[in-house]
Amino acid sequence: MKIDLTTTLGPLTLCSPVIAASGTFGYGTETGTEVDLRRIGAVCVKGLTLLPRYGNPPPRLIETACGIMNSVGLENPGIDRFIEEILPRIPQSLKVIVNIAGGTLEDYVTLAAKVSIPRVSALEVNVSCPNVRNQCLAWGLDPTATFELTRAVKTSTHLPVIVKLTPNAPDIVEVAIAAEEGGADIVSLVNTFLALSIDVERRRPVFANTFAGLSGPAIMPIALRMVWQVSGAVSVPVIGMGGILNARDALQFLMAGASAVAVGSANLRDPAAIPAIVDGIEEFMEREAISHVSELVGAARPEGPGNRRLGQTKPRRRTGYCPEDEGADALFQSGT
Amino acid sequence: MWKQENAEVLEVKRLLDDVFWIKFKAARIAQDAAPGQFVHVLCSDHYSPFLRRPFSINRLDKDELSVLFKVVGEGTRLLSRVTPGQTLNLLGPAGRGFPVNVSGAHVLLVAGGMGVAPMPALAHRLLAQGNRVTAIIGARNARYVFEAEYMAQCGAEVLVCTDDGSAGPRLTATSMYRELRDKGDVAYACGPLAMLQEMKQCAATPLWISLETRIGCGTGLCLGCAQPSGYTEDGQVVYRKVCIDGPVFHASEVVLLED
Repeated sequence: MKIDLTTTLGPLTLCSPVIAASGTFGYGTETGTEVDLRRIGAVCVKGLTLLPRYGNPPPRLIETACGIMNSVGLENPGIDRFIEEILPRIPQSLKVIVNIAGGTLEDYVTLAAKVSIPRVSALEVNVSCPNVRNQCLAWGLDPTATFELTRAVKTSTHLPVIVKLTPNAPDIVEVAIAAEEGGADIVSLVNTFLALSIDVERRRPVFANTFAGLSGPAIMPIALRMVWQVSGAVSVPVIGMGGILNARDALQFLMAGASAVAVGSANLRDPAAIPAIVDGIEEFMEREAISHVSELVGAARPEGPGNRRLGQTKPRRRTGYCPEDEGADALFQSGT
Repeated sequence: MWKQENAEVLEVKRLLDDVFWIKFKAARIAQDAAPGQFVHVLCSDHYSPFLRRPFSINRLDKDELSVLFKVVGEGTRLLSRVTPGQTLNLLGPAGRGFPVNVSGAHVLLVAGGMGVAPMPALAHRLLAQGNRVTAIIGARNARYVFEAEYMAQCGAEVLVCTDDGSAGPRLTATSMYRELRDKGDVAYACGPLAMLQEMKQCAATPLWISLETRIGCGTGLCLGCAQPSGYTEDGQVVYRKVCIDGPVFHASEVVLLED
């Protein structure tokens, strides 16, 4: 049986539904020939800023029960050096999604214009980094700010725009809808959960910035619930992520309504995690006689797979509702 | 370039209650490995602990390599329980090792505590290339002196010192190094940060140090193992990554402790 893993996310087409999540696969140049990059849908590069950032002081990464916390602080060489020195070294077989992070609206607009070059397949707008002391996370906490930012970025690029959402928003569904209304082609979720660890001997927080981002299998069921909710509320394709370790986890995100998934923390344990996950998805499809990966998308939802593409009306909410009502609404919509 | 390999455990030795030595058959990794590089070991199949654990390559012999470690947490505790015949996933050789393209030199190796781990492979290689090797091994007490015999058998001159005088003179590795520092052409060290800092301050020759730190991915993906390496003009700290830029650094490349 011929298995087709080609994944279509609106204007973006990938060879496989599994993407390397930003900040967990470097720039796609670090793994050499040891990882089969042809199995990876795209690499979403480490978040880039206008100027170089040197990152946060150590410790930057600790383990928790079934997860990790990080506070890297967007260390990166800056957009110009990335374009000049790093981008040309990324193997041609690998599609590149550039993750951009800024403080002001102008930062994002300038970044978007700079990376709108042929080698880049899409832009991921990071409105959700919890580890820098600027406005990055603040953008993603508020629907109105996300709407304004998305709209501004869209006007300065021809590339497909992905807005990466934060689970720390009071209502992630509301922010997702705002991103869609602002013109996002795709939304991705979730970034890390704001979390805390305390060094009991020193009686101080472990991380210099007090809070850090929690990721890994510990957060997977919550991330999956959010992907379910957002997929039910927006019409644009969703990239689901949060603690995916294996093919079964990835399948859950697809069946919840994500059109593609991203794998993050698992890459740090096994740099060849993504090819193994793609193999596992393929085996599942073969076993279940599914020829195209899109048949899996939303398969666990009450409205069933594929229905959305037939033009069914989706439950839809507008921004501007009272937050309390929104929360309750979101739970009912999830079908629980 | 590192590789992943399912390596067979050949031998496990319990050297002390909490100190273990494990030999692996890991042909692909061992054949490419250089002294001072590390292997990143998957200690659990069950995601707890979630990440690998890094160990300096201790001895190297054709298709085989060993690690020497003290049990300090969950990862090392699991690793200490493996038995011969089992296989573990290793990633390596990772990082940058000691510069070994020297010959005809007098090299001082200085090890503090478990910092002796990478020294046997290093001594072996340096001696094979016609260097004279003097190894200083500093330990808490006689029981915690490891690898002295092996390195002596390789042909190194081994000097042991302990905190309580139970083996060799009652000296720290650093104070012994201070006495000998003029005699060597280059020094390679591994041990606690305070020891490395002291050596850096009194070094009379080029000094290369191997840093022990928590490492996340081991492959430069996560940027987790940041070690301060200097400052920008406007006073921001610049970092290097222990896993790919190190774990061996020239002492001048890194800032160890705040002065």
